[in-house]
Amino acid sequence: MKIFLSSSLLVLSSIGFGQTKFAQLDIELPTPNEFRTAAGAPGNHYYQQKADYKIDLVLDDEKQIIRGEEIITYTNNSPDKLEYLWLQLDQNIYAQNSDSKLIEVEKMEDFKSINDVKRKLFYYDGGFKIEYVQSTNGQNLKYFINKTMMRIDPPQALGPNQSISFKIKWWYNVNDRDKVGGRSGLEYFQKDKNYLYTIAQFFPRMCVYNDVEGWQNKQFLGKGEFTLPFGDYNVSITVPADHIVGATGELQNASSVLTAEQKSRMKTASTSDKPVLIVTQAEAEENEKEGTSKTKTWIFKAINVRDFAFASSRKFMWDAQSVKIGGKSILAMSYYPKEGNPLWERYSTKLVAHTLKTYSKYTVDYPYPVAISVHSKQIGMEYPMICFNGGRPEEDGTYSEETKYGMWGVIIHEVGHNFFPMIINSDERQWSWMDEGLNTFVQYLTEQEWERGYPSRRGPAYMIADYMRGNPKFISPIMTNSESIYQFGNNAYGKPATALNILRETIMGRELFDYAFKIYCERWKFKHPTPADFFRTMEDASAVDLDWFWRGWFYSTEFVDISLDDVNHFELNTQDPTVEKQINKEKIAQKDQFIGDTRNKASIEKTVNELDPTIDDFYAKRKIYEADALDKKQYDELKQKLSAEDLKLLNSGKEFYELKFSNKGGLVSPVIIQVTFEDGKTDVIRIPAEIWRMDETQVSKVLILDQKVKSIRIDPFLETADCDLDNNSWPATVQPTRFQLFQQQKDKENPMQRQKRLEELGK
Amino acid sequence: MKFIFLFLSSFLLSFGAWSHNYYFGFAEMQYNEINHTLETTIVLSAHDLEDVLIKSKSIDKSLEYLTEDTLAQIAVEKFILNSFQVEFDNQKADFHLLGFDISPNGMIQIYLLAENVILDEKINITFSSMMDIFEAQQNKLTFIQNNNKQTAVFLQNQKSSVIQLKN
Repeated sequence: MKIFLSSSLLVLSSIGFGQTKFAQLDIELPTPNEFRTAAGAPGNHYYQQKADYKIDLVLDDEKQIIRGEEIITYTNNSPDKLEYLWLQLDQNIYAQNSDSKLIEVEKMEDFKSINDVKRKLFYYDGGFKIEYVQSTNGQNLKYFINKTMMRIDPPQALGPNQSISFKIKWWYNVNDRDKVGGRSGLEYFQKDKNYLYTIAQFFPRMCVYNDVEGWQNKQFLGKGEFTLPFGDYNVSITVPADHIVGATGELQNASSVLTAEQKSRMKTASTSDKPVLIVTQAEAEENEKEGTSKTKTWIFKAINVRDFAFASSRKFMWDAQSVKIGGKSILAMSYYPKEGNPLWERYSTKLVAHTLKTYSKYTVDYPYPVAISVHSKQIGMEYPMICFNGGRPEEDGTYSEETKYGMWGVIIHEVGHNFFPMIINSDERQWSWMDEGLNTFVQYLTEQEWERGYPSRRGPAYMIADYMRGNPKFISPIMTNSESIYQFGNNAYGKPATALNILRETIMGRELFDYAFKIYCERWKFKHPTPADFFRTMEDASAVDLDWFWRGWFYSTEFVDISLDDVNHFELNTQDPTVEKQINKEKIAQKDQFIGDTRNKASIEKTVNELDPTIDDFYAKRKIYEADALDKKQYDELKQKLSAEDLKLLNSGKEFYELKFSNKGGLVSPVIIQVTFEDGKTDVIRIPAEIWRMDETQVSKVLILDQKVKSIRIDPFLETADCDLDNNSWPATVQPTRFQLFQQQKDKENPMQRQKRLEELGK
Repeated sequence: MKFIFLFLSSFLLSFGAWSHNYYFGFAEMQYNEINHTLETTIVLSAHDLEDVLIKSKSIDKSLEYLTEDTLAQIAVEKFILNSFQVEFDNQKADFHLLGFDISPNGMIQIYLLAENVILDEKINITFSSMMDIFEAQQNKLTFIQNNNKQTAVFLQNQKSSVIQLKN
């Protein structure tokens, strides 16, 4: 198709549609104030509470009981007077009458086997047994237990800048993970009759009190994890003398609990850039052969942490290496039973070190002195400086590739949680995505720096498409409270990680994104950020209006499906009759020929007008594809009116392609267009999402190009999470289904078959 | 009402312990109008499926080692066909397993084929895989016919879905 340029100006009128997808998040976000600014930073009156703990613990390995006594010193940095204090009693989730059991939806089909019934009727006497709550001089304090929370009424209200210290004594039966599950607990090894303890949520902990919610008042129901104030911890842990203990914080009494050999190895490890074994496999195997009635007390100190956890077992191997971050030397360490080898000795500590380095690059420098990965079957759970991770080889020491990547992924993820939420301390019980989503995003970056082409499970945009497609009413927005999320993994981990990847790769670009993301992390390290603080900082530090993005990706359940509906090709008319008439002639010559015409050319020797010259008149004789003098005169006159620049444009040979798009998924998205020219070269045009601001359902775009186009594809680099790639191409192409790819592969030999042939060749 | 135990398998899983919850299954099913077949790929977490099959003693090691193992293929087929059914024109599509493979990122792709399928106006699909194991399991299926795609969602309280065919 040919087009004529008009010298008139095209004035586009903006049509006043609702523009709901591009409306600012004015109603959704809280009003900025002196505690939290409109820029997303802590305000000039930002405050947070402090809770310091001195804890004495005894681990009873015979009865699998934890007994503890703690002194909590709570400092009220708020401007408010506190009449009561709230503490978390998370172990009470295992109490027989706990809400988490009562709210579990059950059907008779859940009881298909005798074991289903046994599991339901399994009795475990869980939950905290509080022996007393006293002032430091031994006077009982009034307290009330509300399920997983405990209220303490101090003798006088705690005023601003005042502190209170009080004592709590308690005990509880440690849960067996194989029988009742749990983030922490014990694992029993039948063969050598030993226990491996990974212990957390083991003490009454202060709740957060802040400017957003007052006291955190959400009961622990199981999904929404923890929200805790920062403080300093001094913890003594008495365990069987043959146990090795790893914990949050620095060991204070190595000379009392380690052998001379172990201390010497630790000294070597503290300057080594490779793991050094503190306890070898042979030593651990010897240690696990018999128990002891003697005990040892390990003492740990941790400064400015929000929680404390530890692991203890006579089965532990232990290795460590040094990691240099921000001029400081950090000890990366791993504790694992022999059942974790060969994977754990080879990889765990190296993964810890790599994770600390990579996360420090993208977020904040790792501030703590140690980072520990502990092996425990089928778990991935994080605490400050220590995490418990799965990934166990087969009993014969072999392991599958899937197990290896599973173990790598879980260690990177859980060590990464040191940053989100242990340092950048969001409220997990309200917003799982703020730690899981941000952490999964940096996990993806860390995995890709560990191994080129690492098969990350979450992060790349195209991997979320299966979850997001379909009826949007059956998935939850990311901005859903942790306990109400239906698809927890995809919603809290996968979708936000994908969204951040799209921001980084497509919408903001790496430089702007990385700068703003790091600003957010620096602003909120050792503080309590909310979603608004994150949204505002990312905009404020980048000068990119992202309200439409947060609205679409975080507040809605729509998905991306941009369809390339139609492409119309136009060429510029040069107005030069010599050129244009020749083009018309060539086009006619190129037209498909009707079969009758072709055959008639051969079968009809002469037509009447070919035989009789009187038949052809003016119309028959005129040469319509040749420019005559009049054509040329008119063209000369036109040229006189045009400037040299206009004339150059007319003869530029530009090709015009009008592309029509529709938004079938509802979620507005940038449109990434890859054009492939007839000579095989390609060009990429990146159109921002704001193209949809006037019409959220249909838009068109004209591409003015120097060459003819062979094909066009949108989202060619799979960066927008487009859920249907079959409507992304012109001419239309259909992506093969997974089944078709399998059928294609089936005919080929697998790598092992090839190896067999190779071996036979060598015989 | 009295009830009986349907089978004595041992599905003893630790709930809420694993921070890497997946609990999502996806199926892609295309109607091949030339061969009159339903070509289906089901994608699940291999870890989750392995847990189930190991605990029911159907397999004794990772599925990654067992892609060519006949007994494992039978176990996977039995498990999946127990929870994935398609009905058309009052007939049940007779799926059989062609094979499965495992991706390094821990996903299993299960390939199923049903022959002699003549589709009429609608198909009724049940896709409840893993739902009796994990309360949070949600499944989705995309059905492809004549380059048209329709997606159905399967939940704990909605394990079946009807797709009206576009002719």
